[in-house]
Amino acid sequence: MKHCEKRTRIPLVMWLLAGVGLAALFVIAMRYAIVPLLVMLGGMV
Amino acid sequence: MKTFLRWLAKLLTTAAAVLLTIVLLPYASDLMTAYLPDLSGAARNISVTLSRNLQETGRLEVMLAQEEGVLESSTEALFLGTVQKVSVQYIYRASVGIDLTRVQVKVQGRVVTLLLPEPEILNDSLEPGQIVRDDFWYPLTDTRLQKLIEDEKLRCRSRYLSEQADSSLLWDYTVSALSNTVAQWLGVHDEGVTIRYERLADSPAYPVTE
Repeated sequence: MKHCEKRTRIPLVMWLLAGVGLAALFVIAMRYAIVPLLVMLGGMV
Repeated sequence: MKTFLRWLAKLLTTAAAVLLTIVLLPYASDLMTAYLPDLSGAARNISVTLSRNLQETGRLEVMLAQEEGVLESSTEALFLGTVQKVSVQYIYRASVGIDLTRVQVKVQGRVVTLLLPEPEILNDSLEPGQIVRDDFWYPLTDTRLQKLIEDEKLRCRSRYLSEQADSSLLWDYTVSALSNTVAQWLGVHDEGVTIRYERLADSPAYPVTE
């Protein structure tokens, strides 16, 4: 008996949504966490 | 010969005396008004009126200063360079005057001398106009903007005071403003009393009152 493996395909839209979400997350993290931290460190140096 | 020398000495002495009198004549009226007794009591009355009015009025505005400028600030972050740039156009306004309660009144003969403290900033403000900001990665907060404006106000104040400290213009304005005010207080007074304005010796140079 031949076993047929079923693969789930993720739709392109979902990929795009994930990309946009990640980009937004990156921007938010940069604006409110990473850049303020780097500014603070820059002030200390 | 002896008679001639005596005559010459007499002539030279007389000439010296006449010359000295002519040289000292301009100062004579001042000295007389200063040291002659004030029999009518006019100077005393004027000094009392002045002292009362000075205490009641409190402050005298001498000059209004206005200055336009641009405040520029940038913030650097480690590895990233400039992350925030702000440019604020502003108008700085300062009201300069003297504290009349610190004015001292001195009477000597028929001369009333007002000893004035140094002019000071009575109040000042910095009014921001157009604000241009480039702050995507590091947003400008209202607190930081207020701090920048407050710092610039302090800078403007100290710069203005240091500019004025060297010039005698402010002193001239002060004397002119106060003499006008005194003339209003006293009305027409022609009783031979002279009013003089002098600097108060122990006043600190350009203090700032809030």
